[in-house]
Amino acid sequence: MNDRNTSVNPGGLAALKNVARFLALVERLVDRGPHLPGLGVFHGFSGYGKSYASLYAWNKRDALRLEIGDSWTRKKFLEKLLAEADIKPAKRTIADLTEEAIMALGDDHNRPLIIDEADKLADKGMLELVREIQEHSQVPVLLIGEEQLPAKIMKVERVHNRVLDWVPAEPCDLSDARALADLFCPELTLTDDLLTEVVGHTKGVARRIVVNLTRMQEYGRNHRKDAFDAGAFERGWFFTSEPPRRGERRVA
Amino acid sequence: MTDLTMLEKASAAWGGVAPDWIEELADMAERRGLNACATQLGYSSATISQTISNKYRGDLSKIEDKVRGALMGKTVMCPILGELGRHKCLNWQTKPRAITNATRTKMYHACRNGCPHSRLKGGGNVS
Repeated sequence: MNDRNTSVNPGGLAALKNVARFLALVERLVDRGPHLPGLGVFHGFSGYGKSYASLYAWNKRDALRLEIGDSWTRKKFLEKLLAEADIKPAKRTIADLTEEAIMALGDDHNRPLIIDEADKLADKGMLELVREIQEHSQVPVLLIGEEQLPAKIMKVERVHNRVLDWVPAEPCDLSDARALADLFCPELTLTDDLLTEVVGHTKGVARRIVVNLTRMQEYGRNHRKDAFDAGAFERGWFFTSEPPRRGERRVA
Repeated sequence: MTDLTMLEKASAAWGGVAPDWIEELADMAERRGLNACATQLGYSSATISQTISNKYRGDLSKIEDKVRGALMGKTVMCPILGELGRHKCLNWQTKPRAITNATRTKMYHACRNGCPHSRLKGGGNVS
């Protein structure tokens, strides 16, 4: 026996509205006619659940999914793309790797390629490379990024012309918060007005909502409570991503 | 022998009544061919043929799980990805570590850290 915590959290994914928005975008790209461009953009502020929405689609559509790393070069990008497609690259130059990637993707041209953190592609001037791969393989390519992503893509005329649709991710509403609560703290009874409060304090950012829900779970466990309503927590209790401020500093 | 259908072949090999999943596999092999089954399940066509005719010497329960996932809609509750086809779950367990996206790393750890659906060392479903 060891003392490491080997528990597996009941996890999974909540089917929020952003998931539906993203899935609809994927479907539109997969079902597009042969004369239509094959890039899709899903953009929105950090923490809205874009990446989680893409996980859902990744799983359902058997897609390939990359998260662009800050350290990646063009070559690294191509190597990772091939690794995700379970292919060991045979050659080493960027041109050869690109060709291999195009051939690999083209084998199943309905299998979407999801590229998360696509802002970094734009920052590193790799959008043209993605365009080349998309153009020749004809697979649906989904670019996911922060709110500034569309503006960054607009700067590259040849790429922005090939975007079939731009879909903004939206903040969570009450029913999204309810779905998250059902997934992460099913044992708690939370009233609608409390969840409305949570949505308000967190500005609908899914990641912060989950942090708050987990805190409620913890609080409930410590205080032996399993039902909360509005006013159960004061304003300052909620997690808003702001670091806490110190009170008045005592002067010695 | 050649005029027997896959289903007849299967029931003969399995002593009259083949298990439901063997029937399902034989049915698909009849309709779409051994190669299509092989691609769908990630095995060679020889393995599929041996399975149907009850001659396969390897881990039959793994093939059963894959058939149930890919052809009969069996799913598991993956701690990371939520509802997941059993065959995809098994495919995940064989994936090597790669730094292509963070969820892949999460899956790698979950499969090796007590997941009840994992057949790997450290998983809860070691047979």
